[in-house]
Amino acid sequence: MSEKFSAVIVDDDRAFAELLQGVFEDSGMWNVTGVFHDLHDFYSTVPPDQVLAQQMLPDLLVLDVLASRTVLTDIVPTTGLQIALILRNFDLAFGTLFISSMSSESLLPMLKAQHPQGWAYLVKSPSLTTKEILSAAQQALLL
Amino acid sequence: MTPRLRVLPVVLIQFSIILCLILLAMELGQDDSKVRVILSVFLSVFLIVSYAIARRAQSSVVIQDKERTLQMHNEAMSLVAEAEIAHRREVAAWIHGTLQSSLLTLSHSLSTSGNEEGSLQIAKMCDEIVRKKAHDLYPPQLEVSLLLALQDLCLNRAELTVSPNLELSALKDFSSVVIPVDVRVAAYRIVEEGLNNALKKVTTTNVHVYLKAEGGSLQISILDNGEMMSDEPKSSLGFSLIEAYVSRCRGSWSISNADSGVLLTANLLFHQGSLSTMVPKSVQDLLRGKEK
Repeated sequence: MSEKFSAVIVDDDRAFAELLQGVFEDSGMWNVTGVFHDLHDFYSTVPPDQVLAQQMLPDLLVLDVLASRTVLTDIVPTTGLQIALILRNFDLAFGTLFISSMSSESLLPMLKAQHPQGWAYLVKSPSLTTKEILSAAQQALLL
Repeated sequence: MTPRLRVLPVVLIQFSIILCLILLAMELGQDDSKVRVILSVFLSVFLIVSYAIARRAQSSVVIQDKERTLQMHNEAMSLVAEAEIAHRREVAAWIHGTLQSSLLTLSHSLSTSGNEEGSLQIAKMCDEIVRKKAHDLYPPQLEVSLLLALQDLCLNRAELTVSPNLELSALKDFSSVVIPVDVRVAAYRIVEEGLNNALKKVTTTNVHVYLKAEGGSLQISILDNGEMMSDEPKSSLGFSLIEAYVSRCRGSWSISNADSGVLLTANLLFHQGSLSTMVPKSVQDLLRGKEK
């Protein structure tokens, strides 16, 4: 049996995060190594060392763009997009699958203009199927 | 207090001086007609000057009052705009988060209990109505990045160019300018209004949107190649909206004919935050580790 890919899920919607975990684990191809319900909880686990950070990061980060419990204020929120991009800018290799209720046609082209590979994006919807999620996850992998 | 009442002390003082002069003229001029004529002329001149001074004082008070009223009006408009943004943001966040999440769970439950029809209806409602309404209230892209929101807004409608410090690539060396959310909203709504105005003209075939962040100000220009304005721009709801957003950001705006079309410009002021305050400490440590 081939080795499973590792995935970390970051989504403040607990029910959806649980659903995603089930989808990945039931597929038999993925091993969910962590589930976080706040962006801050995730990035505080990233060690301040490039080698250690690379070891800690999974093959795939499943990220809600706005996965933060921060109270809405005038302060600019730090979003999943900025965190994923900054980590990629440090030459850390991992795939990112954004799943968000935000619909944006420009998101993926903008990300690919920075790093051509390692991105996929799905809009959170009740019509989203298991097949679509797993297919997008495969697309996002940096192989 | 009305302007008339406020100039009353000035008028009373002037009246008292005139009275004194009349009494002096009567006293001195009893036997001398020359003195009487000089004093009469002086009195007339004094009366005319006094009247002019009183009128000027009155109009100055009226102008001050109008300026104060205008300032209060602008402040009120700004507060209304601020409350509106906050409210829209809050409602949209609730729709995007809580409501959509509940609908998603409901759709999933219906599907697992065999009610595929019901599940599909919920999915359709979520995708076609709920998300669109939330977006109309407040584009969620603004929470992520102004550039992302404007890219979506200008997609297939206008050419968008931004200064390098607003590009995503600026995240690499932390040279990004952090635009506060309220200024992002103002910029987005101004571009949206300018774009709609430009594309309303049948002659417009090209619109160029340009944004530049520099020293705590965000400069916006929207240039189209459509029909020029024939006279002064008329006040409209759209222009009032631009005025409200601009005044909220202590900025300025203008619309005028350009070489081959119409140019709308706006300048918004903001408190410039540094990206380092927005980047999590662990990520900053990572950067420092890499530099070593």
